[in-house]
Amino acid sequence: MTDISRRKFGKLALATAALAAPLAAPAGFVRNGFAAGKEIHVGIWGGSQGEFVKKEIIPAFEKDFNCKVTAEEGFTLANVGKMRATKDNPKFSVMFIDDVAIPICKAEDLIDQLPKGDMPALANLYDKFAFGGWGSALAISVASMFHNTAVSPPASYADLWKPEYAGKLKLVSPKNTPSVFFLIVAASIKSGKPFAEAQYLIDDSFDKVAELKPNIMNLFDNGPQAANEVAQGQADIGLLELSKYIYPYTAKGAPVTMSFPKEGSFAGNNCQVLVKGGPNRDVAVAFMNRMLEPKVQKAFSEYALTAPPVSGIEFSADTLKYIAYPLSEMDKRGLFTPDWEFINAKRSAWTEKMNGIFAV
Amino acid sequence: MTETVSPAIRIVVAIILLMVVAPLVVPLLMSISDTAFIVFPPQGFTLKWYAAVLANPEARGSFLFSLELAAIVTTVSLVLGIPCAAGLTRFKVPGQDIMLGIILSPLIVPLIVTGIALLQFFSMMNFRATLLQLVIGHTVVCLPYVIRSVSASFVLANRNLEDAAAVLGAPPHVVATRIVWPQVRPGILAGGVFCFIVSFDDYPISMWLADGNHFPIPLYLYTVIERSFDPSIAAIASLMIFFALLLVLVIERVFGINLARLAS
Repeated sequence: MTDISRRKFGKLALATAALAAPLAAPAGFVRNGFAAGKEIHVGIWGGSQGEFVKKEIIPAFEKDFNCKVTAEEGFTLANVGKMRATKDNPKFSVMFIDDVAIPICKAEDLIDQLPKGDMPALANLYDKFAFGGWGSALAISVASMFHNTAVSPPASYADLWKPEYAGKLKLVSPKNTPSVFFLIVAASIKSGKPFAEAQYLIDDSFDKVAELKPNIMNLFDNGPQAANEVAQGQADIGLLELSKYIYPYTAKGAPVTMSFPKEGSFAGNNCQVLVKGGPNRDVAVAFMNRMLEPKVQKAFSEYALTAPPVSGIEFSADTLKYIAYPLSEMDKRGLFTPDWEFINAKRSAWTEKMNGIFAV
Repeated sequence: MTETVSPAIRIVVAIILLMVVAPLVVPLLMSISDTAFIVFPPQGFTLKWYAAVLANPEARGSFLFSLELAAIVTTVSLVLGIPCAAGLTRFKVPGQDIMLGIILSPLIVPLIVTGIALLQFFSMMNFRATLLQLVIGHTVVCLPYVIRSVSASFVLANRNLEDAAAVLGAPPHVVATRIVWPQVRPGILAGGVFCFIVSFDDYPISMWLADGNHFPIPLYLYTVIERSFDPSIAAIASLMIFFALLLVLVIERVFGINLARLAS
């Protein structure tokens, strides 16, 4: 009797499972059913970050949401240009840009505020990387000097103006965002004030910028290429560049690494924004939320050697060598984020002046 | 009767050739370096960077897509460009100079401006077919090369030979294929080759119009340089040099046109 009952129970259990399986499977999809069959275009960065987004994050998201995400690799200025050119009939739903461009996009009505209610992952986002709700950071790099490991880097940026560095420095091109960091450094050295105050004194500091010219071997606009040239000894020191372009070489054993002068370093914030009126907004919001989820952020940070903008992620000691995390560590290192609204209004005039000095 | 070339000219030509070829040798040497990053002179010897590039589906996909795009653009440009060049050189058309100016204007306007203007135009038209956008964008840029080169051939073609053939009873299609074609063929071929290379190498137009599913090789190269500056970049550059060399050799063998005529 007991045997028969057990057999019957087994059959019943199997039958129940067989019936439940097809019912349960759609239930899983129903949660993300709103996205089924839809497509969004996302403008991402190039580099190792773009590679990881394309190869790891997007395929998993497409599988989970049964949708299509088409990624276009680019860079901040081009991505803003694409949003402007398609403003009346947006092609993109999500765009990856640097924090420098968020005030511009907001002022030109290109982006929407993030819907907090639909993005649970925003709960872990550090406030300083929320940009008033107009986007979120995805990765934080440290911008500072980089040097060949055979060279002892100076303890202060002020030393770079000394004649011993004549013709030994590579300077970032005025086209690139870190050139603004250099202008702040020059203003800080001239005025003796910290970065937060010096950024408003740049207009009066171009004579200090010009004084550095004899020490500049050439300008660079490609971080990885500059890292490679410094590693080969073509120049002793490069200033300034984001750690995400330098540390991958350090980790591979190339003789190049970063140094952090006493005046402090800068935060390079790679961000995501929601394009105003972009197609399939619900899928776009789900994708942005996915980008901030702890599991994705951990893997993303470890691959690109950048710090996540969200709290509560554990990293190995090896990874922590290359990133400033958590927030207390970023503050300890004095990572400075400039006043981009003030800087953006002046940047084109400053670029002209830099071009004049270095005859680009 | 052979002309003698003075030793001084030989030396100058050798120096010029060396200066042209030397930069091409550098990526070849860097691509065989057995290091995780690019070094010059190379350290060790390996072909693993070539294997890595050839096995990479992204690199292969971009390369094949660029070939496909350049082939379509060359065909479209020749189909549009040959009659246009013939019309502009052989007939009096009202507004001829203005028309020629408009067609050749993409050579004057910076390509990056042309690219963003096209993106804006396609967006206004709600036109989302990426391949077609790229074909149109590249054709706008490549067409002037075809028209310039084919026009020159038509201008230099000897009209008296056509008249003579017609007077001797040759019907128009015979005049076209046996008298005109041999004279304009080098110009058409040169225009086609320029067009193919300009499209294959284009970055500024593609940067605005391409997407993740249609990603030409110049854009791929740029992203790879940003990802990591390892010898695989030199390997891709070397493969492109080999490809260009192969293209010239095939043209020489298949069409039987020597380089001097192509350049003239």
